[in-house]
Amino acid sequence: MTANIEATLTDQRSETIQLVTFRVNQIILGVEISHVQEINRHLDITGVPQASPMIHGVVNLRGDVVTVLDPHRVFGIEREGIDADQRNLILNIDGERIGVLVDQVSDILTIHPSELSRRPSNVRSIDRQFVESVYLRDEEIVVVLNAFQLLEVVEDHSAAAIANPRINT
Amino acid sequence: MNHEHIVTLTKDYIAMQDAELICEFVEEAQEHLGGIEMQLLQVEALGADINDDLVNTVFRAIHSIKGAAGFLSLVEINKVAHRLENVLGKVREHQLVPDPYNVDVMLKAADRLRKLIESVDSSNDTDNGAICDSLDSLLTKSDAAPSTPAVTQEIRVEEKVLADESSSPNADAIATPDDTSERAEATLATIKTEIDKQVNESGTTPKSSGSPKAASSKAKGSASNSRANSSDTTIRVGVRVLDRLMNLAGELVLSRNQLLRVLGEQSTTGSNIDVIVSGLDQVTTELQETIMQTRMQPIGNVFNKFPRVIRDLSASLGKNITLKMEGTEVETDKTIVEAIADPLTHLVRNSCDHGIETPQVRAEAGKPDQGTVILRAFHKAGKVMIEILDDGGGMDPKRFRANAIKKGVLTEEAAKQMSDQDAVNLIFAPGFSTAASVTSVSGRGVGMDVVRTNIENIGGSVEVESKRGLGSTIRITLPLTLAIVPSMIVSVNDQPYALPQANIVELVQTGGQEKRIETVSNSEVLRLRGSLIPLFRLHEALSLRASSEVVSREESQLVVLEAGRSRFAVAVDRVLDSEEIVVKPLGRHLKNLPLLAGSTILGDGRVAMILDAAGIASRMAIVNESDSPSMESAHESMSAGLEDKQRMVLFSLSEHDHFAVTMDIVSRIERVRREAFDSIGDRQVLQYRGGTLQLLEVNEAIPVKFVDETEHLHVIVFKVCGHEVGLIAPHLNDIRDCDISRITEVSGQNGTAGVTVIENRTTRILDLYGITESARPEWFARFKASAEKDAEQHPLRILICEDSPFFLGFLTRTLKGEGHQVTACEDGAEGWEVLVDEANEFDLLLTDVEMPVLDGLALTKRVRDDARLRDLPVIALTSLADLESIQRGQEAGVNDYQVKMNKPELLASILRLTVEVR
Repeated sequence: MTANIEATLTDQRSETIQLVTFRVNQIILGVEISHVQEINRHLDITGVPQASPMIHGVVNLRGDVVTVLDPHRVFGIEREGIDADQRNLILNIDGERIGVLVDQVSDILTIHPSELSRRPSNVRSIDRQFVESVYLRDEEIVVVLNAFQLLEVVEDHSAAAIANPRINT
Repeated sequence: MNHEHIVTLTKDYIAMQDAELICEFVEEAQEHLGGIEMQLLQVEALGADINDDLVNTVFRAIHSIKGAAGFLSLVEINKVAHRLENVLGKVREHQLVPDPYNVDVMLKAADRLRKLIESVDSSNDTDNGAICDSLDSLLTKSDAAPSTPAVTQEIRVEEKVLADESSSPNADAIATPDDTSERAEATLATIKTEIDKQVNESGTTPKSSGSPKAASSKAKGSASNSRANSSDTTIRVGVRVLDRLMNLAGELVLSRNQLLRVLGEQSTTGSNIDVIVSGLDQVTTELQETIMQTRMQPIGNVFNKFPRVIRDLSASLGKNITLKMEGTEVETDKTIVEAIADPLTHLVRNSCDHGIETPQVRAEAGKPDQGTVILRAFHKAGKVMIEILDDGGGMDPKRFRANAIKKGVLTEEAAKQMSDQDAVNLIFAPGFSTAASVTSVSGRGVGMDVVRTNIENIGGSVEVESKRGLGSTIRITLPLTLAIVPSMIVSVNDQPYALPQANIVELVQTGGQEKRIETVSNSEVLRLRGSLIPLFRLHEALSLRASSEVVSREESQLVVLEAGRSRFAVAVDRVLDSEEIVVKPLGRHLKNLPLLAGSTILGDGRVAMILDAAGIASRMAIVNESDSPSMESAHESMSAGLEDKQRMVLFSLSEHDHFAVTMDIVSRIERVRREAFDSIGDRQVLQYRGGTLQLLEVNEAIPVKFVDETEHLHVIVFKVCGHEVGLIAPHLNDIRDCDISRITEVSGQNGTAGVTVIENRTTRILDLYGITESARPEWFARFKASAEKDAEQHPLRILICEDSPFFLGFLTRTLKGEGHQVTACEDGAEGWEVLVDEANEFDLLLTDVEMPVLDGLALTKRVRDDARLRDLPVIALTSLADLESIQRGQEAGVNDYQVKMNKPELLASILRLTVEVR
């Protein structure tokens, strides 16, 4: 994706890009629409014993079992109760599907790539490693996520969980 | 299944094998090479920060190519792969830093390999000297770099052993480390050709002649011939299509389950939709089974490559080895057949290399020159077993222990306490390898732990048994199929989990009887039929928080599981259902959790985790049950009480009619769908396991109020007069020990042995033989005609010794009913007194085996030792006779064994044994 954005940034004649934006607590996050397979209300999540705390569990997505992440735990954002607008955002990253249980799906932004500022130093709300770029919409900051990094970090964490299960208890 | 088939290696056979093997090799090698470019690039990117797993993956891929190429006489491929492997070996040992230059050479080598494999037939005519030299130069470069003396020494030692093993007169040629291995291999090659020549001349082992190329072209011809012949009945279908079909069938099964569940909830419909659904249900099941069959392949597909492997190995190792194969027709899922090929090859090579001794050693040990390796496949308990037996030198547990301590796998203390059996199984422990030698046969460091991992990845297990001097047996257990797993769905904290049936030994309901659960040094154990089984609360094993709705200890149900050689019980909140589940893979983040074997989607759409019994066992560090014999016997004596405990199967026809059957005479219990029943005339039968099982309903023989119509039924299978019969039980409640000392006898009802109260329910104890007699009188005609007439004309005087009042009463009534005179005693000692007092008063002794004070066998011995009683016929009464007790009985002098309540056969046996009296 890094390469993608780079390509689009340098290509002045490029088309617009679309971001699906969603809310985790008070933070607005966005992810490129090409990574979003669907948004649904599959909230009947089955817990997985001994999985990383970043993982909510799994859901039945039309006959396939898909892992669902807890963005609060992944990004280190506080949780304030359960939101009635919760949605399961199913991402498809290079053929791998993963769900993210977000507090609310906001809207789809159509922007020009040049409007994105890359790797800003002023984003402190979430870990920099997940941040691809940011976009300023009115007063709000939309943090555009690096979806690949999302997969990698959780993977590292589950490996650690196996090595020492006590980390999570 | 065990018919042996010794493969004769004819020339054509070898040729055909070659062509097939080469095809397979090309496919496999291309697969291996497919990922290598990426992996090498990753290795390069990491630089000095070497990722061992990654390097290992590349190393193993090249290693397999090298090995296979060696066997197929693809010398050039073998040569390049060997050099590349050497380089990767250095990287793996952190002696060579993968810089861009190094990786470049490795990539070029991989490219060359790919080219050679693409045109495999002409590969031997190519010249790869340049690439080999550049690979070798990497080695010298790394040798120049400082390395620790210890490592160098190790290499030297290994190479020395290698040279020794080749048992060549040139073996003393140990020069510089890097040319030794080459020279040794060259020597090996010479020996191989020499042996080949000799073998050829003596003609003991048939072998192929001519060049591999000629052989393979010949094979192509014969292969196309056979294809033409068989084209009438078979059709080639892409595996992808089959896989897709398989997935669709899986989805259909799920949808069917959902439909059944929904309809089950609205059972009031009563319309003909039920008929439609049951039709759908049947078709789905059959469809699924048929598709499964298309994926079944004979294990022979893998075995067939071993005659060649063994032949070549015999030659290269200078050993004389024959291979016998049994059960090549045993079928298992394609995926499994494919996945087992590599581990099996490794194990067979290992048996030849380290197991079978050289002819001299064998001669010294007084064994025949020729060593034998047996490959055997068979079905056992719904699984496929593969055994690799060799009659070689066996493994030395002492050496294993020492080695384990040396390598830090075990502490000295732990090693001392380890049994020999466990010690030889250390061979599968990571970082453990028996031979310090590196040969081209068993490889270097691609160890047995990899073999075990590969087998476990497909749901199997492997263990080894070895007798020093006599040989070793490696036993692999494999599932029949990977895709659909019959499972038991249990619930913990209101969440469903699936436990594969293959791991389940039995379900135990504590039914408030917590006394069966005891605490031994802070951990719980379950007392089950005299043995103690470790018990765990599943929610603890899974580290779940205690549930909001806590199911009390008393209400929890226990499932006894078996994983490998360990047996243990887990407590679950509820047992929900048994279901044929379709395994769904978990995403990469959840793949490595040791407690889980995957996931599935249940009939109601919920996701359930499939639990891995082996994972739970290792998490709970379960020791073998055999470690606690003293505890067992202690509890055995504790449980002997005054009550008349009998193990009973409890079932109901409806809420009004409850029945019990003594477990002693039950062969097994099956759970079936009602639709599976067929009828022949007015009789119900069940087609299964290729046979027909006659079915009986309780209400055919005795009056009942109501019989519930349930979707699933249990069939209690027992044997009578040589017929196997199933009694239909709509609701199976429990199987447990019941106190039947306070039984009320009912007369005039053939089929009921008595009435008692079990769990506050009035329960009728059934006489299965009586029921059968009422319902199927014709089966008994033969026995009856003769037995009854004789009893009337020649009443016999029979002494019965039986400690259970229930059975004593039953037997007394039965035999008196036949017109015999009966004397009843409650144990062997009492019986002995009666016998001694009135030595000539009895024509026959009928005795239980297990009795307090003096048991049946001891009583029989006394009878046989007494001059007056020596010829008294003795029938021992038992539960379903097991061979061991029959043998013990015969040694003691018992004339016949009979099952306690099997009246017709008991009477026939009495008749037989008392012919002379009359």
